[in-house]
Amino acid sequence: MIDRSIIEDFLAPTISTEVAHYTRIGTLCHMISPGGWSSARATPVQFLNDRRELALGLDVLRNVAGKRPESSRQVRDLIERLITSHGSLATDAFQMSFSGQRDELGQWRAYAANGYGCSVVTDASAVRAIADIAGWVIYEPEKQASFAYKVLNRLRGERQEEVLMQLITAAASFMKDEGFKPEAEFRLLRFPPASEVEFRENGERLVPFVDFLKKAGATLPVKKIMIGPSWQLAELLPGERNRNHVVQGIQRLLTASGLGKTAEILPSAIPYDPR
Amino acid sequence: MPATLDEVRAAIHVAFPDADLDKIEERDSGIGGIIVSREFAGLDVSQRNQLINEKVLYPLGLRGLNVGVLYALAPRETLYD
Repeated sequence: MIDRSIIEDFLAPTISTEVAHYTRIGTLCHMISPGGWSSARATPVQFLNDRRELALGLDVLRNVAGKRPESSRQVRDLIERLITSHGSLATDAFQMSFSGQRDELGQWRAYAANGYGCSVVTDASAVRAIADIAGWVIYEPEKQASFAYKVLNRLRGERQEEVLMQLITAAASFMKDEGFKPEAEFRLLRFPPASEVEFRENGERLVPFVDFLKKAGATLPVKKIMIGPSWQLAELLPGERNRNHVVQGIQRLLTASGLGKTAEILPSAIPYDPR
Repeated sequence: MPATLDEVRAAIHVAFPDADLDKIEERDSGIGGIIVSREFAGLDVSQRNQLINEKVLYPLGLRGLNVGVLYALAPRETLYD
């Protein structure tokens, strides 16, 4: 069992606050079912769109581990190995991203069908409760170095190779390039046993994932569903907006899932036209 | 077929003739262990890993995907220094 405090103690504290997951509207069909948000897929970091993002964190850890007081040779070797090798299922960090910003143009464009998707708003502490490790991503280089120093310091007593690799990978996962700062990412990590890992096709390749809600029989609260700016719902009069076919589809899904009275549907307030 | 323990040991023996091959073993996470060799003396962690990659892992190609962590130590060094 991974000691989550080794990472989480040095991230900004997780309090009960809204966090949003940006996705395509079609994804809601398998995410939400009677009972709530009951299916959520986490994917290893190296299978995400930006495969370099783990490299940044590992590089920070390598730099800090090599400075006095140096980390053990084992830790420095493992960081180097994670940077240069293929990794393994045993140490893959399966992750799912949320954001502290539920209506942010960059994420609408990148993760939600160029603004035609939605963001599903839930609670950060509920996400943390079903994670092996969860917390806010660090973007500033000085804060990343400080975080790496503290984590590496906590690793000094640990010698178990698999645990070390998981913790190093986890630490690297919470450091991203400053250019992503507007995303204000809250990240969930899972290290599932191999028996829980499933595979899906994506562009003629196989991508591993773990459905951490379904496997645990758990649900996340759905507080709001925000509809992307490309639908331009904010410009409509309230009556027209409520009759809109995109709103109606989501509203029916929420009602059928028993969430019709608790989850709010909101339009993005951003005046973005993708045409 | 993925590389066997004997093949990995043989590749290490060719690359680092003075290494003790008993320290290479089959684990749940793949074939791994410690290579102790004079060739690593004076090299930093990055250079040592590069040497292992070039002399052991890359020649195995995709058959080397089941090779896990190979630590590189010079004589008298320990993993937990």
